[in-house]
Amino acid sequence: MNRVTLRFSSEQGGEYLYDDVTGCILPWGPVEDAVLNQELGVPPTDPEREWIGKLSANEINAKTSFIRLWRTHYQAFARDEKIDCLTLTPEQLAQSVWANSAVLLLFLTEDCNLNCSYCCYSSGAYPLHRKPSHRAMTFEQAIKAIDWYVANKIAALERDPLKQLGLSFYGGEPLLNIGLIEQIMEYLEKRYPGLFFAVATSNGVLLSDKIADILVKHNVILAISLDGPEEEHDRLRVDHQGRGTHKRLIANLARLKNRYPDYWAKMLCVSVFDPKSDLIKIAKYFEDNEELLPRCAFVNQVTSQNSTYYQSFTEEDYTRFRVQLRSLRNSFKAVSTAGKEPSSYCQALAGGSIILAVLRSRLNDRKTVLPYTGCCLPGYRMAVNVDGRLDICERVSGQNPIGNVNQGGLDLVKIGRLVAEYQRNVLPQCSACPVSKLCSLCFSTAETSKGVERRSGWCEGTLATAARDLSDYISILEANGNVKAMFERNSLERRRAATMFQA
Amino acid sequence: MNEKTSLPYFRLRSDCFLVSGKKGSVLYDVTRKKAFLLDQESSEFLRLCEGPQPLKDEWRKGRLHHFLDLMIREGLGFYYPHPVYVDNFLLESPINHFGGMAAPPPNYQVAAWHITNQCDHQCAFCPTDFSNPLWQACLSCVRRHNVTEDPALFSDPVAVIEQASHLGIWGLHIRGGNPLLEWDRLMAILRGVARFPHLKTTITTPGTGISLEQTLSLYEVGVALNLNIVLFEHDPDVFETGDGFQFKLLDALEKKNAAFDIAVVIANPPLVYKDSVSRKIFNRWGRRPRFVEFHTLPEENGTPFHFARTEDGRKRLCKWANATEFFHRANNRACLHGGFEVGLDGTLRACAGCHHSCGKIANSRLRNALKEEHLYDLWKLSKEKVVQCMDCGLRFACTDCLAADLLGATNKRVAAGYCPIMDAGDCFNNAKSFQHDGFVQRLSIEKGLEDA
Repeated sequence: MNRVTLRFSSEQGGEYLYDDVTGCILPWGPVEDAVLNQELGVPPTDPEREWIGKLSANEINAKTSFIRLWRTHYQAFARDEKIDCLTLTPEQLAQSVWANSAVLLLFLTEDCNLNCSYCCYSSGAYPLHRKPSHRAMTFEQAIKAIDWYVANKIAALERDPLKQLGLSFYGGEPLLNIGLIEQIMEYLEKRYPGLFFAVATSNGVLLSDKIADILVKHNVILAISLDGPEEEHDRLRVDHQGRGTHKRLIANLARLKNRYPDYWAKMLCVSVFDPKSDLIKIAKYFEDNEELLPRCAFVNQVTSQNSTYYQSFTEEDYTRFRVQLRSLRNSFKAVSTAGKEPSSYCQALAGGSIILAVLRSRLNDRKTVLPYTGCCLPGYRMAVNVDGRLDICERVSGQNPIGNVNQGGLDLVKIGRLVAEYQRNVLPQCSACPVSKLCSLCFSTAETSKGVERRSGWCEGTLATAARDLSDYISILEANGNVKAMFERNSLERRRAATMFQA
Repeated sequence: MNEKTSLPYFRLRSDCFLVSGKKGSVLYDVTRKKAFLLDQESSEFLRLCEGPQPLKDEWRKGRLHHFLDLMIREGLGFYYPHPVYVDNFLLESPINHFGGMAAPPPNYQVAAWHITNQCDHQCAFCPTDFSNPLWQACLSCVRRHNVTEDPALFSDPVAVIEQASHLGIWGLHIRGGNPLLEWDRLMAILRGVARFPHLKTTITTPGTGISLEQTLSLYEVGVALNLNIVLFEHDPDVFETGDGFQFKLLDALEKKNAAFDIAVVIANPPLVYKDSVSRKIFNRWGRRPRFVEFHTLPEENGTPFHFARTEDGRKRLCKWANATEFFHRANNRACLHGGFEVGLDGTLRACAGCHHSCGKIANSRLRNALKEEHLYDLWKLSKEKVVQCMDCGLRFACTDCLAADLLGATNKRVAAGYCPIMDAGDCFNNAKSFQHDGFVQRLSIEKGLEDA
């Protein structure tokens, strides 16, 4: 048995234990630790003995019986070393995928009107990803994918009369293929009325009145990429002539808000940063312009996965960046503790990782096939490329397709192989991990040119992040327990958006 | 407080929940399946102890000291050196109780199908409309007036069963009236059910109206069948020696080793009657009956409904089997969750005893009717949301199925028409008044721990 717990402290000095079996956070001290160790066959240390000596037999008995109670009822605090991964037959895999898949993503085009410096397709810094091209999805290909998806979802839809499926339009820049969006939506309204909820992720530069009319008419909700004030946004988001795009985007947003205020209220912003970003300035920009900008739902760092992008940054960049991040995090904590709503940018950036602590899995949220890390089964969120090739999701490089809509759909043998590889290469140490329920490793983050593997430094980073997030979470609640409801509401709202939009 | 400790803060265990009532509170020890009734003084003191300030010196002496010491000894809370935050114990991530695209499908369990209003009895208390519902009406037969049958529903019963099966239900409950009187329809349904071997079927019937042989032939259709035979109030001795048709049927079912249950519909039963009937039925047929209770009390203040109370106006409290059940009760209306009833006319209800229509099946499309949110709202109507129940500390141990129904139907607000455990808002002082199976104790600064 491995003890799978993490001790941490609040800023105020309270001591806690996170138990990875139950997912619970418990007030905890050296006495509890000594008692637990003893239960697990580890003799107490001298300081622990000293603590034990300070308490009455009554208290020691109570703590012992509590720990035994939780060991007996919930198998808390320790886990078998053996990894208990379920292996599914191809038929079972198909059944699981189709029962759980809720979002279909369509890459409408491989082309883009911009040439962003960090783009995984056009920057050249991500060798595993495809290169930009003028290839676009045809209407025939799109409806073939949609019909195939719905046909396979029939049993799950029969099981769940309330089910609405997500349809996400991606690119490249999906608005380059607005005609296809219109055709698809008309098709859906005729063929599958009410079944799909459609969204698109766009840079917003092409958002003319005519395009807006189409999106509004068909209720396709937009997530707009906006990286901050003009100088920040235009440092990263430029067109093929190297010109900034901020002015054009903001003008489009202002017009859209004026013409369709109700639709505008449903839109979201997605923001990206790298170590050169001035996070304080960006946060202030979003805060000052909350009335003018859609709510910021995601703030993500440019990915370093399989990339040379980060070679260009200096130690000075990183230092300044870390200081700014810390400062925003402190600001988030201060505002939350006061029971106020942090700005949407601050929430998404600083509160983003605390979501994992708020919405962490608990005892009954066990997965079976991939029991550790945050990995979902390939196919739960499938992405269709312009040529019908299927990817695990929009975040992977495309090196490991899981089938093709034009060639029999899902390749269950391939999915089975990928799952086995993940189980073999990534999971073996996870049963001993004290924060496996807080780990976000998945196929997109474990993918390398050699296959799926655990990234070097990932576990150490996850452990440190988890300890910090748990500490921040509990420090806020220790200072003001009343904010828990607000915390949960905001976390759930962001999670809702995350199921639909590119994060 | 114990002399040895100097730890200045007290916190309840994370799986112990202090639930407020109008007067006093109930402390639920979820894992150990115990409920402690606290009077107002004790619950207010506990809340103070859980506050951000350290325990006051005067709390470390005398009766307050003994009370906290008792809490520690019972393992309900601990002392800490810091004002720690207790993050409540949950079995599932909050994400699971949130809608959204990735939400799991509704957990359908059992579908009831009211297939006929025909009946060969004329029971005086048959709740032919919803003015006179029964407690646990789901176990009894219920005739309904003024219902126009939807012939489309019965023209292809297999289609309805198939849709229900696709929803994931494991149980089909066929009800009436007396379903045996609609023999052809019943057989068509059972033959349809036979195509779905995972479905277990229950037929609730008085068991009369056809021959014994014909009734027994139901077990030959090839479905997992259970007959729920509804008996009516008799002198307890009759259950021991009676040789009427229903008793002969029960004798025959037992001899055949067939699956069957017994529900007894009774009016205003004293506890002693129920115990006696239960014992006699057990002795004769080897199973305990379930009671469907009908109560009439004089009108009060012009309120038309006074019924469904038992044992001098009280229902028995019910312990939760495990933490999962506790949270299920806390988040849902447990007796409705997972079920629905299809009426003769296609009306969808949360259960046979419910007034509310939750939609209507048109063209035999069950799935379309199940898109209505109202059914799921009723499933999730936890007692936290019911006026009167929300003021009762015992709300998570109460399993009454009707209390939240009455005023909800008429006043468009969800309120309990009565308290099934007799004014349990003051549960500490009323502890002697309600029934439980020993899992409830009183805990107070004044008297320490006592049996309730």
